Amino acid sequence: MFAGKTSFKISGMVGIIILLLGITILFGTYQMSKVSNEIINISQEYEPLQNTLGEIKYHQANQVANFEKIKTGQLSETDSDIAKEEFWSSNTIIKSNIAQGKKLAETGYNMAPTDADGNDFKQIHKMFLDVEQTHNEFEYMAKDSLSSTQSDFLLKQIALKETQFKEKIDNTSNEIKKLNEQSINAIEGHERGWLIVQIGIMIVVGIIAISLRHFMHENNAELKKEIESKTIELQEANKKLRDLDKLKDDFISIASHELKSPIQPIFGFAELAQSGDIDQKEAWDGVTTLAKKLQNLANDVLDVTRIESNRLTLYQEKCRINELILETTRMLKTGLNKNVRIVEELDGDIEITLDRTRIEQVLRNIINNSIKFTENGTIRIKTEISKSSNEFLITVSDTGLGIPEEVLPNIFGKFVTKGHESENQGGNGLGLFLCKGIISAHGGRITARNNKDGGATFEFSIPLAQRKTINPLTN
Amino acid sequence: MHCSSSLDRLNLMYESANEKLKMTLNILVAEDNAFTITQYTKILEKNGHSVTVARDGQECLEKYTQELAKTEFESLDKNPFDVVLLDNNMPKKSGVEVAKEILDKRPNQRIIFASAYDINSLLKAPGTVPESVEILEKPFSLNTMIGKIQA
Repeated sequence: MFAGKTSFKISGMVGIIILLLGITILFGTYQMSKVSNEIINISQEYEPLQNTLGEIKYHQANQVANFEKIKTGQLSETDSDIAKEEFWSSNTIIKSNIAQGKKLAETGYNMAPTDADGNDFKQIHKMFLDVEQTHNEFEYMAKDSLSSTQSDFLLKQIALKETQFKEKIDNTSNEIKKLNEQSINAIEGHERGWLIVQIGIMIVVGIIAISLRHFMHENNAELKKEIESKTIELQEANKKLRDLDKLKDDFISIASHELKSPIQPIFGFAELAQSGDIDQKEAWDGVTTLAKKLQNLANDVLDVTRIESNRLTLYQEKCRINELILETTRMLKTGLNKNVRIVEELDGDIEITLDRTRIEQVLRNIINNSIKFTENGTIRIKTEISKSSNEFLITVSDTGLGIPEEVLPNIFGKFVTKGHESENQGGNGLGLFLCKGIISAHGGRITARNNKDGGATFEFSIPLAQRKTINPLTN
Repeated sequence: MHCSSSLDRLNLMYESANEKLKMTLNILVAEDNAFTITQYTKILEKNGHSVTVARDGQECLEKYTQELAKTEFESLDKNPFDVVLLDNNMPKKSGVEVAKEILDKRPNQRIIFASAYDINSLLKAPGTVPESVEILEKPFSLNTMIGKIQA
């Protein structure tokens, strides 16, 4: 889940970067093409205008030259006529050029991509109009001068107009040049602006990439930590499993040993009976005892597996618990061959829902344990109702050997007591484990402790409240 | 002459073999199963051996040490028992522990291990059973045991 989130974040970041880069490149390309188109368009507009102006200037110079030639009066009739002709042809060309210039300016105005450009062309058009007017004035004056006699004043006027005209043309030319430069500058400025934007986007992308790297690095560190902690968890789980496996192996190993060990004396009895070293009865009694031991062990092992796999089934019924205890102790007392007294101090004679056979098994086990470890003394069995915890409490305490300190913490484990008992105390090491399992299945608790003045005390509880569902499980 | 000397020699050999067969062995048995103890004692005594019984590992060591203290006065080379028959799974001290402690005291003490544990797993775990220890896997016939002890 963690990795999924991370890869999602990373892919999102990468996507954004690619998108931004794409947009930048797209804008750049679009902008470049647009800018170059504009440059071409505008220079296409301005160039013919300059050409026209150049033409006008040239022909105007021609015209003036011819005019001056005529005015000097030193020409022959023919030459004068030629000059006059040239003068007028120049005039026509100038006029047509001015008209063309106006037209170009008008076209430029119509084609201009922006209002500012349009205004530029408007201004150029106006200047051309100005030029036209000046030329017209010059034309009239020249015409007058040519048709009339010499007049210094008129000539002066003409010369003035001529200069004016020249200036106007130059002004216009300069203006166009300026505008051309301006527009080119504007385009360049525009281009620069876009370049800055592009650089900006690149920087943003760079920053995102760097932060992504940082983020990924951090994420990696987080992932590493996560993996490390997961590895530790797994190692722990693995260790737990191995421990459990070892426990299971130990159980199988001890259980199989326990199941095998009565076989040796069974063979022995058979052999000795055959050879006549012991009598038949002794052999049969021995074999029967051993078979019974084997049967009990097999049953206990089965119960252990039932408890461990939570499959211990309880057959619950209402039962007077104190009567059950008395029944059990009566049976145990009959088999008692030691100087041990069993004393019942029973309180709270009530009915409890429980599995009779199983609870009897628990009682027998615990009391038998007390008998086993008490050479002579008293075993006291007490019962009481605990109103506060709504439980029935049963306590078995003896004045025997007590529980070895190293065994006490694991007293309810499997085969824990093995190796601490001598033969006449020998059990199969499963009794207390089964007791705990059975009591837990009833919803009760079981505890063991050593008495201060010697001996051990076992205490277990059975809940009073009848549970609706019988939960045959233990924990 | 020649004939009679070879006959004498044969006779001598037979007698020594017979003597060996009837030889009384001093045996220490450590075993926690009461039935098994009775059976061992019965069959061993029937074969003319002297049996000392221990019911757990610790008792076995104690009896061995006691006997060792006694026999050491007689001879430094003599082991206190001819054979120690050990069960592995005993209260207080396991057979393996007992065997090691005995061999620490008397490295050439003959020990026979009688165990219901899987012998292979006993042998596989290194250092568990000392090499010189002989092994009898339970269950075995009492006659097999006698054969092994007298071998």
